[in-house]
Amino acid sequence: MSSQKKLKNRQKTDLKSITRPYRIVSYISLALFASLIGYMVYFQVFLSDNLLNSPYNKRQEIVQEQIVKGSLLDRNGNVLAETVTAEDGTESRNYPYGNLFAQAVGYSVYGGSGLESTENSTMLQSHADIVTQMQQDIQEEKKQGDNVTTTLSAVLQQAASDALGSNRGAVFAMDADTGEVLVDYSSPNFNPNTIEQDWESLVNSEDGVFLNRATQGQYPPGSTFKIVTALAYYRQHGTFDDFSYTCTGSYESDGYTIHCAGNEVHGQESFQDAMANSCNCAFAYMAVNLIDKDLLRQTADQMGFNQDIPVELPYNGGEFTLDANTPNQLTMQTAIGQGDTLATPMLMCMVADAVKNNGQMMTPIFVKSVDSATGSNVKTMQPQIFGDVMTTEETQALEPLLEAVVQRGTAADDLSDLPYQIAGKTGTAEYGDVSEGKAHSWFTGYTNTGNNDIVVCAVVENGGNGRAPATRVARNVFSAWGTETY
Amino acid sequence: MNTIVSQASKYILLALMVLFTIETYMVLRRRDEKSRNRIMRKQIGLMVMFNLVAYPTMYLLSGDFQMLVMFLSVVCFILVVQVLYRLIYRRASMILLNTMCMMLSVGFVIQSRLGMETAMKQFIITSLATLICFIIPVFIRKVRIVSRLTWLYAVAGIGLLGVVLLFGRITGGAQLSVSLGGITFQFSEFVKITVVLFMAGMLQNRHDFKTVLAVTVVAAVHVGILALSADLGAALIYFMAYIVMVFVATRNPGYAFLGLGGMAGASIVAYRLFDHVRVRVAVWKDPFQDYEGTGYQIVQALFGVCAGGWFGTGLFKGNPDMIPLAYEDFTFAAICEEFGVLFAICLILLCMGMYLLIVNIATKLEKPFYRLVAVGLGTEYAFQVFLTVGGTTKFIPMTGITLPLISYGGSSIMCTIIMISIIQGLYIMRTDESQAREEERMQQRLRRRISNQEQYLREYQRPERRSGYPGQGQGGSGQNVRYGESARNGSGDARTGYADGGTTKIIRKLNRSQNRQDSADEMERKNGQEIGDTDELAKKIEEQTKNGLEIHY
Repeated sequence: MSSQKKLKNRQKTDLKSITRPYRIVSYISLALFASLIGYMVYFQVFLSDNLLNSPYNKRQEIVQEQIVKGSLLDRNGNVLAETVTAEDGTESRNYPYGNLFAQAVGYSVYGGSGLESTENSTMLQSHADIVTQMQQDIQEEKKQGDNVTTTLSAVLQQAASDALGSNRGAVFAMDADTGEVLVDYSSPNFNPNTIEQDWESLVNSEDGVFLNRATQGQYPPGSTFKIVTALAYYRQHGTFDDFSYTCTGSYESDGYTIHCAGNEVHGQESFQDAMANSCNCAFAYMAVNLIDKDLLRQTADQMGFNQDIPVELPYNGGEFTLDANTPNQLTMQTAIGQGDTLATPMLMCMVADAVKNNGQMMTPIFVKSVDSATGSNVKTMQPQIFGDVMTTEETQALEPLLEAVVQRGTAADDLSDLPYQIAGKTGTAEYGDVSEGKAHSWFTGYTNTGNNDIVVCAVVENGGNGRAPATRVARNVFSAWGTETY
Repeated sequence: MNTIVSQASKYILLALMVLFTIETYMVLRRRDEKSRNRIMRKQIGLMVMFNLVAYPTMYLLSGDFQMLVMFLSVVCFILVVQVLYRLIYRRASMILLNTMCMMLSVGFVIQSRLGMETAMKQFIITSLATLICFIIPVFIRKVRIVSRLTWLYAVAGIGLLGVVLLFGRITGGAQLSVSLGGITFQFSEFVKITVVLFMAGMLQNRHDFKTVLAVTVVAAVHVGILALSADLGAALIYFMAYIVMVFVATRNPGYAFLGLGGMAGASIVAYRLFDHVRVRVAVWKDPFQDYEGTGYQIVQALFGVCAGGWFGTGLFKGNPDMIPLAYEDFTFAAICEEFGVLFAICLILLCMGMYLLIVNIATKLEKPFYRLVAVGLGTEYAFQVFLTVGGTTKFIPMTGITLPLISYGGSSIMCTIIMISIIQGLYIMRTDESQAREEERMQQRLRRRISNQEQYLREYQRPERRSGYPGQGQGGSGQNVRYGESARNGSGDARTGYADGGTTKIIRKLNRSQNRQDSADEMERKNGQEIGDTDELAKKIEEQTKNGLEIHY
């Protein structure tokens, strides 16, 4: 009996050991299939959006027929762009704010522009819940595409527009902490509601209405660049305290003379005085004598000049050239933001943001979140850091300089009476024939209250020399920020 | 109206597919014949429904009358195959048959959607192949010589592949097919089967190093020729079958690791050596790099996969025709697009179910040869699914092979049907074998029970034990009356109580299973005649029990 049992046991283990490798093989195969399924799910959840948005994907155009393109909203839910369906079923885009967001929001015909173009595929997807989707499927309704909540603020944008009036120029403003773009206004502009009727004349006009001057307009930064020069000085010397200069209204080097604005004579100046007065002579002097040219270039590069900035809308970068062989004449001009230097309002806004934000420069972002038509969140954008471009010590040294500009310097007339602290830098950037005295007016600066602070950069074309100071434009945005919920 | 039809049909088709898949896995769990059969019938219903929804929808949306012709053909095909199998091979695995029919249905629907001409061609090839393959299970059962033709398979396989390499014409960058009288044959598909037969033949009895080495060399020649012909998909499939079969036969994981290591090495060599391998890897890494050229196919396939979302666009609402080779290598992308990712996942699960069924069959087979054949073919099937699905979704580099039973391709579909028929043949033999085993086991169990019974009875016959138990109140409920009666009669009190109807049943069973034995037959007859008499019962049963025992001892 026991031998029989043994035999049986052996048979049992035999069978087990025979089937064991089969089980191992089938487990491995199960793992392969499971990974395949897992990947399919992963693909659908994480990868498919990118593929759907791919510019190569010609299916987009076909999808458009099945989904009603969603809306673009401002940060408070005001509609910036929406789809209107006529009674006969034809769809068109409506822009309730008309000209106000012409370049930032853009239009969707003729290949599209602005956020209408960059967020097109997002708005053509429907993440409505499954039940709603099924209902719409069955009722033969088109699905409602997702809505994109932008970071823009209609209130502040309007303030910028009001201030700029009929002047050409641009205002760019962002949240100091997050880099959320609050204002992206450019003038002159157009009405996207009537773009098709106006197309011919807009294309032929020489005003450059399609140019988003806030992100694409390259202007000489003028004195606003002195922030960068000052930073380079600080990096070389470790302090501003040992600086002293006596301004005589002009400074000459190698046979080239530079003048202070209006030939003003500032006399004995500390560094802070030189900044507050925006003393060209002082900065020309320090660039020639006290700052290593390569260091200035490196500093400018770090501030975002000559670099790609990962923003959603079309933009132009800043241009800056300087090296040890640069002649003094050009060095002097470069130090005060003239010469070959070019910057966009967006870039100078980012520079001011770095000072405000303890050296952390934020990348401007235009989209806050994407939500389905039924209100569920699809995704929320996170702030992006462009770079840690200054140390806290450096920003602590720079801040008093920029505060002095507003409190007692070139921006004091327009900003010092506001009930909260503002710091910034004005600029007057000469362009064209010097003899004509044409100059763009600049201001870049920020509020310093510690609560939802904003950075504003304004440029008024040919507004220099007191004609239409950008500071006044910025003021309007600051006061709108201070009095209204934006 | 069209949209409603298309959208409604897409959800219905998905629901049918989900139900079908669930039922397939239910069968894997259910043991009893009755509920299995119920599920089978349900599945056939689901299948017919699937076609009933799909084709009329496509007819409405496309206006192509041939859709209805196709519908009737496919439903007829399914019903004829089901009926024929039930008539000829009652013991075949119906669940395997159902799964095959469902996948063919999905295949025909997507083929009809993509192009009627290819769909019709596919249908004709499938029907012919299925009919011809009816002979295979008989063949396997009757012709035992198949397990001894080992080297013939090797020669045939290498010969066929060699012919392709030498005379094959270039298709899709790889030398894959040979034209014979207008019909194009893709021999690598057929060799898939011979290579498995060869390896099974070699490894069935011996697993020593020499045998493994011989198998390795022959397998390597196969794979090498395929690599030279740039048929990487088939090469990988052969290799996988080789690794699995050697591992399963030798039970030595060392061989498996060696094989996998070898595969890694061979992959690196192939990467260095062959341009087309490098291209495939580069395309896999970044298909957009050469969007207009080598990356175009996979990018279009990926667009297709994501175009439909979870539920798909609905039939004729997507654009699978934008995918190159949608009916062949990229069918899976077309399915994802119009049926949705959930449907596609069900399809993967169904393929997995098919594989599990095959392995399950393999483990139940007695002869090592058949076991190895089953596991080898199953592995080839599973790995092919993995390669094509993974390739289409860019999980792994694309190898350019078909999705078995679903993609268009005469040789592919023919071979898959042959493979499944072989497995059906093996399954039928398994049921033969297991039935014999089952009977054997049943008899053993009865013997044991009866001998226990006898011992028990003997114990109770001993007077000292009997006195310990008063007659009444003994035994289980329901037996009391009879028990009491027999106690009153005073003959074999306790005995009768235990030798109750249960024993009779056992004996009947026993006798049925041994009906060749006359004595047992006689006993049964007697039993049947006289069972009503309670007084006589005890004696009779005791006698029968003894007789029954005599049969065995």
